[in-house]
Amino acid sequence: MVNQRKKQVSFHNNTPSPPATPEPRGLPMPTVERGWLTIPYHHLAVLAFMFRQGLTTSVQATLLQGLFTLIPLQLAYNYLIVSNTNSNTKRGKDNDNISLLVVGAVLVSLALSGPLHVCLVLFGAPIFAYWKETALLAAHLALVAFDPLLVEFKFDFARLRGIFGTDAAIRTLVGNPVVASALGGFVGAWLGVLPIPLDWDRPWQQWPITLVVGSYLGTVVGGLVSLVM
Amino acid sequence: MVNGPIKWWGQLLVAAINVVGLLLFCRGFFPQKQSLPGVASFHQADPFAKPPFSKVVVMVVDAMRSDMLYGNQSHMNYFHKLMDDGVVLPYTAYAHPPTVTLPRLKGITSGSTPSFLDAIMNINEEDDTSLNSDSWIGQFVGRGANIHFYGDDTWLKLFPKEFTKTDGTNSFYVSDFTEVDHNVTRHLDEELKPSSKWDGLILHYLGLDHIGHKGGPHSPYMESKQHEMDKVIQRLYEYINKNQDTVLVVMGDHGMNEIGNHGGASAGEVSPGLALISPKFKKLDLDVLPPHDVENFQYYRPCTQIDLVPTLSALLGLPIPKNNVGVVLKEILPLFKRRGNVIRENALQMALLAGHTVPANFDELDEKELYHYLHEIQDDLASTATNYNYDDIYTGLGLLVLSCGISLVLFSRYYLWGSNSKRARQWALISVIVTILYSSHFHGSSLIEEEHHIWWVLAVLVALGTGNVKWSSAVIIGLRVIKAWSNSGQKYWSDDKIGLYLVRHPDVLWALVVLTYVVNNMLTFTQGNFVSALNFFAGNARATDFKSLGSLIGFILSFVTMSVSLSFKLVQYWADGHDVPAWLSWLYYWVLTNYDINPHNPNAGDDKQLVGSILVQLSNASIYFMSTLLVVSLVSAKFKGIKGGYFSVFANFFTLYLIHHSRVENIPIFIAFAVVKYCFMRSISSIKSDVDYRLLLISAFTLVVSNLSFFSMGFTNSLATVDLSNAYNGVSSYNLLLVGWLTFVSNFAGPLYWSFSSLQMIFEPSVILYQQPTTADLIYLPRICFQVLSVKSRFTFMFYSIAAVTLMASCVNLRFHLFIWSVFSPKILFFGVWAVFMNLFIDYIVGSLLLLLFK
Repeated sequence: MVNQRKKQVSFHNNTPSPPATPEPRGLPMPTVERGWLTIPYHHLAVLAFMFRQGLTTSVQATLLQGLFTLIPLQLAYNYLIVSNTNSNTKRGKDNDNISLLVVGAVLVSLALSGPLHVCLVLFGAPIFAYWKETALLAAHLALVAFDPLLVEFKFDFARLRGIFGTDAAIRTLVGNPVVASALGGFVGAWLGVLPIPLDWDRPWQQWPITLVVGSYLGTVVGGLVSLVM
Repeated sequence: MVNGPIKWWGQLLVAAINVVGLLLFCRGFFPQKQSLPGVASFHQADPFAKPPFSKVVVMVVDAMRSDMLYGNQSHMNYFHKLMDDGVVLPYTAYAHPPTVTLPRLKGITSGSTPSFLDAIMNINEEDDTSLNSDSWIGQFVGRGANIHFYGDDTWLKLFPKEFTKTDGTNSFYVSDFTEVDHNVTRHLDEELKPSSKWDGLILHYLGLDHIGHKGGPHSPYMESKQHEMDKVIQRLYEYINKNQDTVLVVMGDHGMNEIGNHGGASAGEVSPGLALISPKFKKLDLDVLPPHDVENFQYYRPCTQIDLVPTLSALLGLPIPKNNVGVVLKEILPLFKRRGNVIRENALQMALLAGHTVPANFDELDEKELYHYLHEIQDDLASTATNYNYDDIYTGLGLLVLSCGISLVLFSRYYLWGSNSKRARQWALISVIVTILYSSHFHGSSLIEEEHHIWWVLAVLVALGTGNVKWSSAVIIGLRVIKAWSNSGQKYWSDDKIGLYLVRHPDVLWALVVLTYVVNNMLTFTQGNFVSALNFFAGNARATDFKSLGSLIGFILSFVTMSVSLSFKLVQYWADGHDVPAWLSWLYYWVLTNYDINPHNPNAGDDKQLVGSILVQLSNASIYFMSTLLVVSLVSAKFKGIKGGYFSVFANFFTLYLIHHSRVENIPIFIAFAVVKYCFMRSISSIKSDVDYRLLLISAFTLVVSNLSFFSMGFTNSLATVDLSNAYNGVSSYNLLLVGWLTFVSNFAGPLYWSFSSLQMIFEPSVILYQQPTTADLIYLPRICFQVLSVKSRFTFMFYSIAAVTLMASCVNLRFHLFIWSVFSPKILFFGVWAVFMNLFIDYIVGSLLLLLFK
């Protein structure tokens, strides 16, 4: 692993590759090499695993199980992102403690699931009923969406916020597969609420399964959209 | 900002095409039911030979759900004893929606199923279609019977000449629980004498329904009302025990849902009780379970309510009415000598109605096969029951498409092709796309039932669209509170609601109600030109000059107005049987003492007539104060030549009017409204020069929040949640126009608030934000005022006309859908109110008039 990392670093330092997307002036947007590698394919696997484990029959237990399955996969995925990201800052990559970044991102995003839970409630999730399910949803969403963002921007959120004010914000954001994938996760969770009120009375319509599915699929779709564009 | 002239009349013309299209569509879509004319005669020779009864007593208890007769919570003890004695045939009778009185009465007299139009006619009262239709009442009278009728005067509209003795009571004054029923019961002394000469006696009690509307099925008044009804049953039974040729029918005309309303198709509403009582039933060897609890109100044997019609016809030996689709109840067959003939008579009558010819082996069929045959015809009749007028439907749809096209072109010409602002163009495109997406939800019945979810999503979308992170978050927090107030659709029910919490905690509720009144009073006082207008002796004193005489006058007058309205709500709350919190009791003590009522007397509320008149006086006094104060301050401001601030004064006074006509647990939501309004204006305060974008955001936001508020105040797209508890405030005698207006106001308080707020937000934003007038205050640009209003209306007309086309198209497409009458048709009515009353009348016409006065 260590060898591989060194190889990567030297590769980056020696060959300043042109940025994959047109970049707005003054905004150091990180760029991703080999974008197809950074699509979170493992989310599909975790999702399929959770359904196989009986997500529709025991929601809480399966979501918890899925969370513990997701964490190690996210660690590996974080490492994959780091090794494919050109962060475009003056700081060299050698100065970064990569293992701290990879592990820290997972821990911080789990911690962020608390504020995310509040946001979910503000966006319409039930407050008292199903609060455990909502908390689990927040943890899953934080892991699939916040965690890659934290790695990609190396905890430097001022850069991400800077992008939002600009005219070409959407194009810039979608241009980066990791960022697009995270946004796709949020959008997917947002769209995931739509089937709930339908009167099909299926077990998968219970809270918050459709949102979990929406965010997991959203990350993959978001990443793919970024590649196609 | 404005390209080309925008004609006020042109917009009105487009709206008129839209309205005509809607009306034509409704005329074609809600057809009068085709029914056979004339009066039936027997199809066989003497099919009911020696009928068991010759006289009948029908006791209708309005809205008596099956559990009130049969459930563990029922207080009808004497009735339960009768069931134990084996003289009762108990049923749960399915009432066809719409579950309102008039169509139900048609059903239980003629045996026909109702058309949806009957529901509207129930309110409209002008109805003569059924006068010539065949009924057991007509048959009975035709045989020379003498029928006496007491109770709900809806019967008298259906049967104006049939009864020989009547005393009708109006069913629309829902605040009266006791007088309506005393009015019926007092006739029993006379009617139950051995010397009385009637063959039919019909009693229709309204009190239980009124209690339901006011306080729900678990209202504190329910127990004593059930005891009262039980007493009546006892008196009637003692009479029929002596006169055994009389059969007693005890029934509800429809049920009620968990909040005491009815009209829709939920289990509680369609499940009234039905019981046939006679000592002769002892020989049937009935073994009836004691009171118990079951799911979905399905006690004992479920039947349909119209089955009563052929059953009564058989029991009394009358021809079955021509348009009957009910099936004779099989439990009574042992009372007849030739039971097969009873069912055959029923089958022959229905075959004639359906245009069938009976099978060749008809006379050899056994009972089971006969019933099978009956149900076959019944299903067949149900599926062909409605015939639409396709000419009207397609002409109406055509006009709707035409007006939709014009509205879309008008909107696009201004925003998409005409606007210089890029953001306005983007958001205009998003608006059109979102409107089309929104409109597609009309094709799913459950999405119509749960429409509040859609508005929640859209509200968050618009709030985020302003791009101001800090104040958008504040708006979303406010919206979340509004959503949590009473966000129940028709299918899912959650108990975690602010409204429900407040109902259960009267102390918190009333603290917030008082706070709402105070906050609204402060807004009236500090916003707009109220204070400076009342400052009669000074020139143009500013509103912030609180030391002036005008501020003193204004404070006293607005405080008095607010207090009168508050004491009205308090006395109303007490009169509905709730306990007023101790810390507030001095206020209603004081009011009651002024009317010579001793408030410490536990029976003080029993004199409903007196309490009712106090409520009428208090309500009228508050309205009188409000309107006088508003007119005086507006006229005075105009006279003094004060510029600006009128819309704020008007909006705040109108909010007080809306609070006055809202349910108590909904009143504090107006604080949340005010906060959301302030935060939203903050979030767009930096958008000053981009007028197009700003106008589009305000139009979109008020439209979306109007709808969210409507659903968040507990209303849905079902007739069952139409709230009548504030429709009689200040009404002493029934007046269709006034009650109609108050029903509209009390049910659309949220949308009305946002409608007038939108004018304030467009024309006087600086007043809301307590700032100096800025360039964003469009009221200071009198030459473009009307154009601004027109531009705003282009947005709403675009929305409503697209929605109209898709809704009507989905109704045509799904006209044979199972839920067409319970979900889609009520949605058409609600949509009509939104499009015609809210959008065209309030937003456009009243808005323009106000602008004309205030600019």
